[in-house]
Amino acid sequence: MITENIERSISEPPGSVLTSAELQRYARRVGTLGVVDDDVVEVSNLQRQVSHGQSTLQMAKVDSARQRMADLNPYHQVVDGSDSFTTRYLVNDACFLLHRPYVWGSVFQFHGQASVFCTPAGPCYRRLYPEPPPPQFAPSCEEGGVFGAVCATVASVVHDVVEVRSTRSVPADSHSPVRTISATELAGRLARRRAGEDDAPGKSPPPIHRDGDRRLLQGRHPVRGCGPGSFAGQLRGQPPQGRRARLGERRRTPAPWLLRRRPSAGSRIKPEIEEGVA
Amino acid sequence: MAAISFDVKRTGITVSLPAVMQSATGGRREVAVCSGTVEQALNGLIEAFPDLLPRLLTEQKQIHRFVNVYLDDEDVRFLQGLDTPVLPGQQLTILSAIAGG
Repeated sequence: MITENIERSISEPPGSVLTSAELQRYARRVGTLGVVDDDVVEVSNLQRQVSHGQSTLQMAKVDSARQRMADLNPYHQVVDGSDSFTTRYLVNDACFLLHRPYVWGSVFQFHGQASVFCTPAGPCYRRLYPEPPPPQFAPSCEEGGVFGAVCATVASVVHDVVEVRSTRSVPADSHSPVRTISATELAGRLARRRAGEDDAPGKSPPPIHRDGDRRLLQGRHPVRGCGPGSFAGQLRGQPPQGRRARLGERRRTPAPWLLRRRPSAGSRIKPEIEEGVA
Repeated sequence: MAAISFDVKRTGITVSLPAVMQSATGGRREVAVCSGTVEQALNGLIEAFPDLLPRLLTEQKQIHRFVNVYLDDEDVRFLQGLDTPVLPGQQLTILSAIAGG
């Protein structure tokens, strides 16, 4: 999974603890920043407590800081690095309905794709791929394998998009292309995407069939992600099987794996590298 | 392999395939086919590598909704679909939805 690093910090006691570094961290969207402070802003604070200003004198410091941070970066950015089409369509639909940009990255073996959807004039993920592929044509990382560095590259692209969107004003009509990343060719491509007429502001949403989609996706991915042996399955009290049951044994494996691929009845992908040693 | 036995620069186009389809092409990332229309190019591709058929086209011979075909960098759905003319020297790129994250 490509996961965004979420940091939480509580700044206490008040004063210059809320330094420019923390403001910068917030401006870079590292996560949630909590501030505890019972003081109010005074003129003598301003030479070092950069989150306050003349306009917020006598205001509670927590309110002043919140105002300054919201002024720096008002965005709550959605970043999706999920490995499930169900999640992907769900997050996309939520972003579409809430008018929030949806930054997305996905990986397979030595290749990745990334883009941003649901921008004011751009298409949503359903415009790019209206239907999920059947499982045998879209193996998971577990089945098909994935090169770790590709995850890092895709994550970097995703973070680039997030940072650009949260620190610069992006033209409303900007269309980010799908960026493809290939570790084997040291080159990527940019594939243009087009918004459909329905994506224009004020128009009807794209075809989102909530229950229908759920049924469709469950039918197409009947086992992966929720069956016996999966993490979700274990949450439901089903006994661990397969990979997780063998986890202890796997940890004792002496040689590191560059790329692991596990055989699956549904997968027709042949591994390019069986057991590369890092 | 007849599809790749001509001079690509004069009469053919290059089709770039996504990684998930390369198991159907013996690991080839790019395949040269005759120019004409997108449909003819895809048919040439499928003729050379029949395993690509269920991955590319539906039973109604339409491009799957989880597959996108780009002529240079433009989605052919926003051109003339399968009837889009493809000129010698142009590039077709096929992208497919990938599951991993």
